[in-house]
Amino acid sequence: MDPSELRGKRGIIAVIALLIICVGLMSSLEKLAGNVSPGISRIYNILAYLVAPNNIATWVYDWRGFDTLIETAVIYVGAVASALVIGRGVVQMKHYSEEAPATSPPLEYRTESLTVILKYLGLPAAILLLSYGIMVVTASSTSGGGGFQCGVIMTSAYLLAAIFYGKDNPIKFGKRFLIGIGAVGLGGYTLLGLPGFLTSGYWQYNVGADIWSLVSPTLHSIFGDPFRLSLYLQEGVFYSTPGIIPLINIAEAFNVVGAIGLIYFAFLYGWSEPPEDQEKGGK
Amino acid sequence: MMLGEITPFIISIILGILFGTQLSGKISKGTTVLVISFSIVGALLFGVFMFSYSIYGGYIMPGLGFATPLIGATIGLLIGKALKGE
Repeated sequence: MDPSELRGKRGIIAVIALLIICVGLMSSLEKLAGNVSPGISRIYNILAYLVAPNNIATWVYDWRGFDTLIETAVIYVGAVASALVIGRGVVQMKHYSEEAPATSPPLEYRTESLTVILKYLGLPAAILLLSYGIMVVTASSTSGGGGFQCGVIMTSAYLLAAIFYGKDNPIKFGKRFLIGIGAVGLGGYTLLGLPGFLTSGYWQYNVGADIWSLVSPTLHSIFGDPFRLSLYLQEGVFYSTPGIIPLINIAEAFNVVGAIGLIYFAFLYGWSEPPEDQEKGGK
Repeated sequence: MMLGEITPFIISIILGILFGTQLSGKISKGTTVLVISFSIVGALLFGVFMFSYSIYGGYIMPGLGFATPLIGATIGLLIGKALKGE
């Protein structure tokens, strides 16, 4: 970075703003110490097994799980509506088949409109947001959620980079990628219930945790051991695994990245089917 | 060490590579160093995940640890970018 760019009122304001943000952020993080109760909610552990035959069903299909699932459905409806409104190439509406898809002025990359901080920290911020999203979903092995949050964070990174760099967006989530990852997520979310159904009769029975000892040791080990942790509690040392929960969360994250990403894609770059399948802002 | 302490790190690298293939443009050495440095600092601030007690899980000592998946995700993104990013 050229230090000369920091000269002038704009540069001084930018540096002061960055310092204030840094101080505020560090202060907030410092105050968080000891005030956060991470991990699985005690309410879930106390009540979950009383509500449904297995914990995973309670977690995934209770009010909270249905909430997430329906939210995802709403987002997909939003994606379809966006495609209908913004571009009609793929949707193939007969009435509008002879009209050209709606177009918007191209997003231009204008560095002069960016502040020094945004110009040089935009890309690192987007990459770090992607990393943070991945970290959130991998933490789901010790908590009940993470998939939806991961999806929202990662698509926020996509939107952030698009705002900074316009059509030169360094995060090129193309149509194929977003549709593919959404489909894998939706399919994975559903299919992860199959092992439990085939072995126990309960859809999405957690074969990795196997609280009721219904599945073979081999299957239990395949799904359970990769996430097994030792729990040092007051009552002693226990060995526990979340089983298929982290995998379900990853599938949900893919699902949400696909759904929200498609909306952003349609709004930012329009939705059409170029002759050579060349996508704007994507592959 | 239990396997669950290192699995999130491995998954974070895999997911990082997957999403890293969708990155385009040129990432300079300075940006690479900046991103990795911020990840390490961020991992220190977030702290070690619950029930991790080994160095592989990011645990150093009581009250001090790293959220290794954050570092793994950043490394994965850079690897993915190097492998297939445009």
